[in-house]
Amino acid sequence: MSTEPRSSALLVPVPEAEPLVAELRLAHDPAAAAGIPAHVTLLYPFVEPSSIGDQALEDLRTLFAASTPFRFQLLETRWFSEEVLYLAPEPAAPFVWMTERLVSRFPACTPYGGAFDEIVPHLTVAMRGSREMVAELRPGLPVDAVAAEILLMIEGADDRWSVRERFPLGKRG
Amino acid sequence: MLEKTTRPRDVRRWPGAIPVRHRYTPGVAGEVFFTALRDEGVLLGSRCGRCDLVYAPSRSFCERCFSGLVPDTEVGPGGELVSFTIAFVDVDGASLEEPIVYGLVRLEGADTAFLHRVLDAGEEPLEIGEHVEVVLRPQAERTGSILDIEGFRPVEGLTG
Repeated sequence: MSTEPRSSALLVPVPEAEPLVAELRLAHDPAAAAGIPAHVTLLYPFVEPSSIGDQALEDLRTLFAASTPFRFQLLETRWFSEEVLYLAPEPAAPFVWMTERLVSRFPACTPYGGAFDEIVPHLTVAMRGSREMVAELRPGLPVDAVAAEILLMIEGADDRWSVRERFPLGKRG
Repeated sequence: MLEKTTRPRDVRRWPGAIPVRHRYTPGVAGEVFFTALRDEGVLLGSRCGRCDLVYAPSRSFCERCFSGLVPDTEVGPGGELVSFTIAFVDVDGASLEEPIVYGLVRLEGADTAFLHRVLDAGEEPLEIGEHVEVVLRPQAERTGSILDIEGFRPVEGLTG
């Protein structure tokens, strides 16, 4: 069995949402149990971990430094296919912009392998949601959050995810 | 002959282009503002003594009482960010290479807001009320245009 890291992802962590979603995610989103914090995904799958070289890291640094930290809100619960329950960030445009710029730089990577036509920024709460979960989440909304950094996470051979690199949004100094 | 068109595709058309040119002038007060900006690197406003208001950029008349005004008051170079927005797409909806931050700034000594870019916002999200200062192009590069101002840069550790 290979012990090489298998997959990677770029995402915006949303620690402000943890008090509201941590328990639900742990029980209903396998990503949480695998070590991925509450987040909005920018690009998954990203480059195979062994192929992420210095140039790619430098390009990511440059791309994210060209952006700017921004405030957003998780406004409401929404569904994908009446099954996946997620929180929708507003505004969505900054997340879409970052995904588009990433795909432009890394054209071999398309969001979710090209499974969906549209980029819909989301914070997944449960892969199989329920009305009870919606009722549990609603009093905690909206969640005020700041997108200040991007995480490059890699999936280990043990199925656990860990942070490989952190990229601040905006220029230093 | 007047005949109702029932088949629009059958209407005869001639493709062509009509050249239209625009030339805007900055006006009397604007001329003084841009000249002072280019030559002295200062921002001029106009004070209405009757309303006790300072307009920036300078105006020819008070928008409240219609008194005649002259560019008589230097404002800035610092100011307070009173609002801002971050653009990620251009007017056609295409993704920008870099996001552009547009801010409304109330310059020190002025009562009105001045629209321009916000530069180098840094690693902290911008806040309304943040203190900013004007960034000018080097004098040799200034042409008497609003782009002689590069934008406003947040001043670390200060709020308006």
